Amino acid sequence: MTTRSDIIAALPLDFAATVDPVRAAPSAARATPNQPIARRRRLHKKPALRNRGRAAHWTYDTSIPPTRRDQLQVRRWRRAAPPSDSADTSPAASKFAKYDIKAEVPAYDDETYAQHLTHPDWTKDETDRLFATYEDCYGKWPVIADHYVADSHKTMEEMKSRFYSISATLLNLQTPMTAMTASEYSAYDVLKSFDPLKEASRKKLAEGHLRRPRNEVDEETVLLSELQRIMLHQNTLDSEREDLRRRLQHPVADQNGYQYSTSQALTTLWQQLLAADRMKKTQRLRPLDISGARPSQSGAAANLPGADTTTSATPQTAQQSVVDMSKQDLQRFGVMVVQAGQEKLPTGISFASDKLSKPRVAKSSLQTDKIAATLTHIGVPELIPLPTLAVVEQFERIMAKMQVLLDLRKVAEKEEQELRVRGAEMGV
Amino acid sequence: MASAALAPTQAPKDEYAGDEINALVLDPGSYTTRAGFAGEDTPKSVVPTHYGVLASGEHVYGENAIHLPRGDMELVNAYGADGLVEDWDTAAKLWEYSITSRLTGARQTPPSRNGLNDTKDGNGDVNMDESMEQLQEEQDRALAEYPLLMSEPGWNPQKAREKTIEIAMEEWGVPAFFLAKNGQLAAYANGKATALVVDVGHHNTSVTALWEGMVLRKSLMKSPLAGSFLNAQIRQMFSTLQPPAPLIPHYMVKSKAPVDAGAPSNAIYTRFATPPKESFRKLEEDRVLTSFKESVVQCWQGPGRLENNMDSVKYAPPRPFEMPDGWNQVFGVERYKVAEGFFDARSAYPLPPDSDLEAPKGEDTIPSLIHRSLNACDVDTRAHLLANVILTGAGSLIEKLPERLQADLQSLYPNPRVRVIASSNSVERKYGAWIGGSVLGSLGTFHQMWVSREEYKEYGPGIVEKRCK
Repeated sequence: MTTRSDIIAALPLDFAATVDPVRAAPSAARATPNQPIARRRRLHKKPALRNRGRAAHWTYDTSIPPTRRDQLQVRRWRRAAPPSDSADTSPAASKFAKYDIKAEVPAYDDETYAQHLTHPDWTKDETDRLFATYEDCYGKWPVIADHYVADSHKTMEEMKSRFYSISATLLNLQTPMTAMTASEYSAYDVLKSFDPLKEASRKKLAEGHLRRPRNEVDEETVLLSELQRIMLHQNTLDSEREDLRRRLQHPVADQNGYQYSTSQALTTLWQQLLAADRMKKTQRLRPLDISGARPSQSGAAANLPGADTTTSATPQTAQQSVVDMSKQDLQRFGVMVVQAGQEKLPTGISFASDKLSKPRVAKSSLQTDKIAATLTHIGVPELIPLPTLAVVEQFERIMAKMQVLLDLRKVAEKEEQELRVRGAEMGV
Repeated sequence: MASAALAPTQAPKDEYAGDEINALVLDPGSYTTRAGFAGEDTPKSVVPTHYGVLASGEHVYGENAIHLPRGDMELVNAYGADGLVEDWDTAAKLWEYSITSRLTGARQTPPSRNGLNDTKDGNGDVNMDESMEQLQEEQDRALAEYPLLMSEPGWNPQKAREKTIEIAMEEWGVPAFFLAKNGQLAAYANGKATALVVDVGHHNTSVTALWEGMVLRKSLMKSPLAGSFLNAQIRQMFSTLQPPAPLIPHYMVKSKAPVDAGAPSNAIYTRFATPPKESFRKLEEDRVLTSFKESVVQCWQGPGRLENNMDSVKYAPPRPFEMPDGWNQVFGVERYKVAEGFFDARSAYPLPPDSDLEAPKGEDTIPSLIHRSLNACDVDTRAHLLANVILTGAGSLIEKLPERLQADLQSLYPNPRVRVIASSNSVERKYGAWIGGSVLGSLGTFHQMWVSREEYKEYGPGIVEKRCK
């Protein structure tokens, strides 16, 4: 008779080695059931369909949902709680108890009704039924209007108006208006301000809205968004205008209030301050030495060119070692040499013709036309035949000036517009 | 106010609301009866509502029994044409069968009572009488173990509802019971609390508006343009073909040989000593029509009606269909035309004078049903409802029906956004109401709603009207 060890011995060596740990793992798990099984790293992935770990334990127990008044016993499957965590031992159903909600309905008795709540269109019976329906339908008005059965037909607005007015009256009876808190008063105010007629006309409009053709609605949406944009723009324009006027209409200074308007007065002030300063221990002000100040300024100005020559000399010698070309060649090939103090060249390649044509195009075509007109006026041709370095530089200078001009013109136009508006306002 | 806490279409996400209470869900229909445990995704037991009455007066239920061609069996349905139960005794038996046949068998007797551990008498026998009796009793009360959630058509009258709870409580002895409307449940199955549910069944198509989980009763509309109407249309189409198509059910055919399209069939038919009854043949013919509906019939997907789009339909590739006896033909325009009656009553095939169905009326088409239903709702709800139109029911499983409904509704209501939600999974459409019941029955929040035995004893059957609305 062959035993297991015989079979294993007959098998190749590595098989025997792989069998044993697999068999050993469950027995280890059995010995300490609550300990997590330390997993060894495996070379091969486990097959996906294998059951890992122990099966969860479930119990089938009987309990009574705590929200029920009767003794309905329901049996539910529950995951048996592991012994370690005792936090989750509350009955399973109690976590749903908070969903057992009721609609809040104001209550009234016969006496209050007779005294305060009578209405020519509503009988007591109808009112009672309305309140019962409200509670049954959890205060959802479309459902209430659907479920309410009355002897005479009532619209939803009539029901709402009746319900709200009664609620408001009861609220007022409970706490007089003078004693209400802010939230109570706002609730009271909302209840009071319900207008059934307005509501009915709104619904009529809404009904018509359902049937409007699609393109009409689309057009309206577009127009509305346009209007919104205009209004938004209007706001910034208004605030700018306000700002401008505030600046222009500053209160004219009172002559007496500003006494140091002339240079003579200023000098007197200076002398006064200097005299006051002399009294102090640490003097902060120094008397003006007019004769000494002048030469120092002119000296600095005289020094400048000298400093310039010394600093610019060194880069030039360095450059000559990098670009080994004569001056004519540099000009001919359009090589630009960046000096230390100058701004850097833009990286990448750009064509000289691009540099001539791009600035002519502005964002708006109106602006582009203006630029073109100005350029023809000052005699810059549409097409510059030979865009050498010097030409490009000159053109860029012109364009920069042009930009300034255009900006100025924009500002001027705006101001003129403002003036016209103001004039119109004054005229009115 | 409850409505303020939650937007109508939004579900609280942070909490798993399930509870593992085993409840039974029963969704009886006029064509099939669906039953299963709450919390599962499909009904385990689907039983045809037709049952066989044998010559001996015995009733047989279930798929296996009623599709057996036998001469002494008459097929009957406990439901009337309006989708309501007419024969309560049989309906109750059938419902019970649908549950007990698959879901609740006899339970294993505990070891203390199974006789194996009892002391044996001289012959080695144990006294079995007592335990057998108990077993029998337990089988009779198999339904007494689980709460039962049942569905009902929205137009179910109060009498029928009371009768239903009476059967459940008195005959079956269920510990708790609840009755929910079909439309409501189908919306829950789609995860919507506010929806307009269009349920295309076998006998009836119904429209139910639902607002925040509650049915708007005045919005309930139904029409007979449903699955059986489509069957009648197809029959009529077959008979108007030149030559008429033979509608031979499977059980009649013994063997067949292939024939060309449109050629007479070349088949040997089964001879019965006592041929099955006419009702049996009709049901079997309907099964052939079902396969025709599944494979050939298609709705014109819109926009516009079929009659205005004949050209594009004519150039669509026709589809072939082979009858059980081998007769086959390709169907071009016809396959669109039979379903057009759902949307345009005038272009439906005129029904033969001896038909038990009425000619379709313009107000019965699905778009006008929805229109009527919406008119009965408050204006403010309409846009929400149109954005959540749920199409469900096995009758709605016609190709392109959702697209057509969407197109028709959008042209009816051009301004609001119309969205027809139809699950592309046919099981979810077929068993929509049952799945909704399964969802509802497994909710932890639902258990406060059950009508328990104690409450039933205290208030009588009238409680169903008060509690289940």
